[in-house]
Amino acid sequence: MLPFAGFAAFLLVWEWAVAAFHVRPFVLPRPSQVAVALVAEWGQLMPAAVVTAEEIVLGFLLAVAIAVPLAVVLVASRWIENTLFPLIVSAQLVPKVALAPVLTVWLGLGLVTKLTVAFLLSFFPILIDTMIGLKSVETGKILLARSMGATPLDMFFKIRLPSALPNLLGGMKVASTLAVVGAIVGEFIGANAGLGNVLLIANSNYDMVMMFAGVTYLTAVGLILFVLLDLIERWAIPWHVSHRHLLEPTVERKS
Amino acid sequence: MERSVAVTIEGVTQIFRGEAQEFLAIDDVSLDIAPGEFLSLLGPSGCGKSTLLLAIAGLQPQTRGRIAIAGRVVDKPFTDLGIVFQEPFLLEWRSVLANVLLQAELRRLDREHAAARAALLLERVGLAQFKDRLPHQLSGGMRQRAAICRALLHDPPLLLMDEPFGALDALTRDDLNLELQEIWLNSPKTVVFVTHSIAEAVLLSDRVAIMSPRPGRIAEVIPISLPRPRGLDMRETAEFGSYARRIRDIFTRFGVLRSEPVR
Repeated sequence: MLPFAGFAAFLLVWEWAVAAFHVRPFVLPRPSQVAVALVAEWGQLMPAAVVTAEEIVLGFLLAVAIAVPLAVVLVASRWIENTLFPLIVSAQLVPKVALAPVLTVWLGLGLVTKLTVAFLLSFFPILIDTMIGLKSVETGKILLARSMGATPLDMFFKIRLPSALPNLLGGMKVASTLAVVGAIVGEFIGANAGLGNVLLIANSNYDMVMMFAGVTYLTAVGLILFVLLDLIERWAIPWHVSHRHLLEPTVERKS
Repeated sequence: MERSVAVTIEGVTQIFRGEAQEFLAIDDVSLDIAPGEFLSLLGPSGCGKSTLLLAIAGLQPQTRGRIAIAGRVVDKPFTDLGIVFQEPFLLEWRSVLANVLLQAELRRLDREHAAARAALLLERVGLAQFKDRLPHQLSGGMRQRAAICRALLHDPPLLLMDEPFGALDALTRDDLNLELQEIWLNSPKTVVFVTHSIAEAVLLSDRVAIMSPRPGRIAEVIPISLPRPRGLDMRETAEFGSYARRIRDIFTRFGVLRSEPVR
């Protein structure tokens, strides 16, 4: 309950401050105005949010689908890692946001450009975290499994992959927030649909209320994705330190 | 299947290559371990005991020398054995029972038979009511008991133990020592037991192979002819004391232990 209370208090102070200091609406709107717009402009915002959400989710899933197997391959062989990994790191050092206009030229104004930017931004954290996870299995476990006659497939599916899950899911959580950034950057460069498009139009009209309403929808999309991943994590790795429920000490009260 | 096997170690030398130099971990170790024998490798930390154990299991190739189990030369991971390390190395996402059954899964053993045997083993070490718990919900001693059950699930003829009770408190350690002796007396298998506890080695072993500080060599092999089953109170007897003193004297000679009390 506490996070909500803090959030409500923040909104109340904001509401009060805008009125008290006579801040003009095109500088900073009141939260209540934004709240009204969230509902009133539903017909425009909701379809735009669906378009953007699609770009985010597809870019993110593509990143998972490519980064995870690639991490497996890189970790499997020192030779492959030494050959490919420097290349991947150099690619990561290129600021992808700066490449977005180039992608627009190559791929057009549609969905593909946006999901590609989302993919590019969310790819690296998943790759790195999965690699770290796959590498951080204790040697003792590997040795024991080998002495039990584990096949390479056993070793991967029964030992390495489950060990890597906490890192993999952590990387996915970070990547999900970056995918949101990627999609919106893609839309800023050029789009005729999506929340990025709504934000650009609102901005050119000095329509701050619409700006804040759009950002709220965008935040909600990111939040839903993040919460979904958190649920998956709770379900997949209940054994991990981050999800353990410790026994609570009980204390008898003296009357 | 044979219930126990002989282990032959001939002139085993292990050299590791570091960044700048090579270093000699084990120097020309030879040992013959009889079928069904309980042999301890006793030595100060860093003397190469664990390295030797890994070499016996075929998990780390030795630089020179030959190791054979039941006449078969070990040149790849040897699977007809059970291993217990100092850490239990349980899989955190599996219940106690599922951890024990990993042994059966990886060996493609009959599930039903393995489950029955696992239940029996867990019962014997007092973990029956905890079989569905996850490792982090258990105490250190219970985790190590589970690791021992896993190592015994397939009734291996050879058991390799690398300081299995080294990370446990003294009381749990005493208790598990007795439990291990009972398991071994009930189903005789060859045991190679690495430890740096003199009392533990004397209590459990048929023979104690004493290793020198690095590079590890076998300094002396001492047969322990105390009657079995041995109880903890046997540690206060004169015979036990004389074995312990004899071993302590060897470590004093090596400079591992001081000869005089510190004033």
